Amino acid sequence: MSDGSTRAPRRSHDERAAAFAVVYREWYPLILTTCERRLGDRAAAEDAAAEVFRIAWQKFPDGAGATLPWLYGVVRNVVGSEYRRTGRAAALVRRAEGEGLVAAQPDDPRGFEVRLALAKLRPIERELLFMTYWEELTPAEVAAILNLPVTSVWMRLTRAREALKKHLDRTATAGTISGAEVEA
Amino acid sequence: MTDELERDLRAANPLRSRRTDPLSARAEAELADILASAPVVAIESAPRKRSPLGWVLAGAAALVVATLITVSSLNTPTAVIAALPELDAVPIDATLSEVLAEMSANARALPGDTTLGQVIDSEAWYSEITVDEESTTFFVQPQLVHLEWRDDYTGFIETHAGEVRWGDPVSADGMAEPGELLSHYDFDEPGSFPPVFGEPPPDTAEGFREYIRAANPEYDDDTDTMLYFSSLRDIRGFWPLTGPQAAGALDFIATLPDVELLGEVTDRVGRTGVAIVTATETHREVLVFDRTTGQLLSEETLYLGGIPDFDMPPGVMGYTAWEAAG
Repeated sequence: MSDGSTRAPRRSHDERAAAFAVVYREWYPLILTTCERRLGDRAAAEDAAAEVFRIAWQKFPDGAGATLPWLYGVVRNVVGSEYRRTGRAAALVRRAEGEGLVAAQPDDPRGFEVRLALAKLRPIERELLFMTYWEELTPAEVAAILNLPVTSVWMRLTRAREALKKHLDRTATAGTISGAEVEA
Repeated sequence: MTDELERDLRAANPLRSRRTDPLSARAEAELADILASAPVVAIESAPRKRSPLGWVLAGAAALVVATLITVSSLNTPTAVIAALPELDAVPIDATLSEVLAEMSANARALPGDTTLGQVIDSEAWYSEITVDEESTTFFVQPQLVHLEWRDDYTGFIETHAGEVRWGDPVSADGMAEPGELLSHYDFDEPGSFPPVFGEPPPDTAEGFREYIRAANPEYDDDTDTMLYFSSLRDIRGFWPLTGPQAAGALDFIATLPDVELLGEVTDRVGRTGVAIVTATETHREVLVFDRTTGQLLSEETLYLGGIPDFDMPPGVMGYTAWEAAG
């Protein structure tokens, strides 16, 4: 991860471009993934990810300040602009980020159950699970993005997992009871 | 180690994109387009600016306890490693309430002038553990963090390597030369320094509750005391508390559940203080206060074990020790 932690000497355009390319290659797949999660559409996500890095290039041509938390913040702004452009209301934003994903892959019953349970979680819990398991961020990265101590991330993740498990257990119990009633 | 819930979660991921994907042809083309365009910022002639959010990474190491764990294989059995010893506590012949009230009274008698713009010096350490099949190394090399910020929200944060305090680095890998400059972040533009707690801390228990919740809107009456302890630590990262403010923090702690008096301890930089603790099933947070002034001297976090898939032995995960203001 590039943290820009040392005083860099002045660089030529080619040197800056090379440094920026390193940052781009390191973070582009992750930024694309988080854009897709928020927009629910691969093509729109590619447009958004490209915009994120255009902004990064304008702001940090040598890539040094384009840290993951900064890029993540730009994603939020770019995705927010996309929502405004397409006229989505705030409530629909939340649906797109959470509940909207439930409908995906209807031919996968277990996946549907899990996504349904995810949709019932508190947003902060859902976000943490998405970041950890769908975007594959490490706890240290999540901590940096959310500006939390990493131990807090672990604690919150543990609670989010427990909450998800409860929802899934409830779904399984409800299914059993429902099945028994049908048989009776 | 992956459990069933994690497998289900990953399998339920409907996204086509993956973090580990190689760049697509379109992504390569976008990169070429970007690099062919001229950046607006002429950094050759402009002073180097750091992103405010770039500070977050420095802050993660500097103002809070960050833990970086390198584990070569999550399937590797938990290694037995030398751990930073826990604080050795001597029991105090008083109750938690009595000690908190005593420290609060001592603090409230001290000066209460507050000005925006602060200088904070601290020593912070984060756990950096490498576990593999061949060997395990463990050592503690703190970082010395100097933060200055001014009333126009400009400032800088500079971090130097400290002396190795515990353990024995068998090689120079991963160890910095003591005194070496590790990072320097400037916040030259007014408003560019982003303290999480930008306003001066309050001086009452209820004031602290509202102050912390304003920065963490998801906190409520059911929030773990551990998180409130973490917030107190983060506040101290930005503000050297005045006497009344320190008293407010102590009064706030007195209202929280699940707090215990550990006893008198010597913190990681050799100062005597009173240790107050709270714990969850997996972690314990320790705050060490100067009994005569009520000032927060240091904090540290212990992992108690029990987190699924977190193949790290229990032990001290990190600490921060603040130098006295002034």
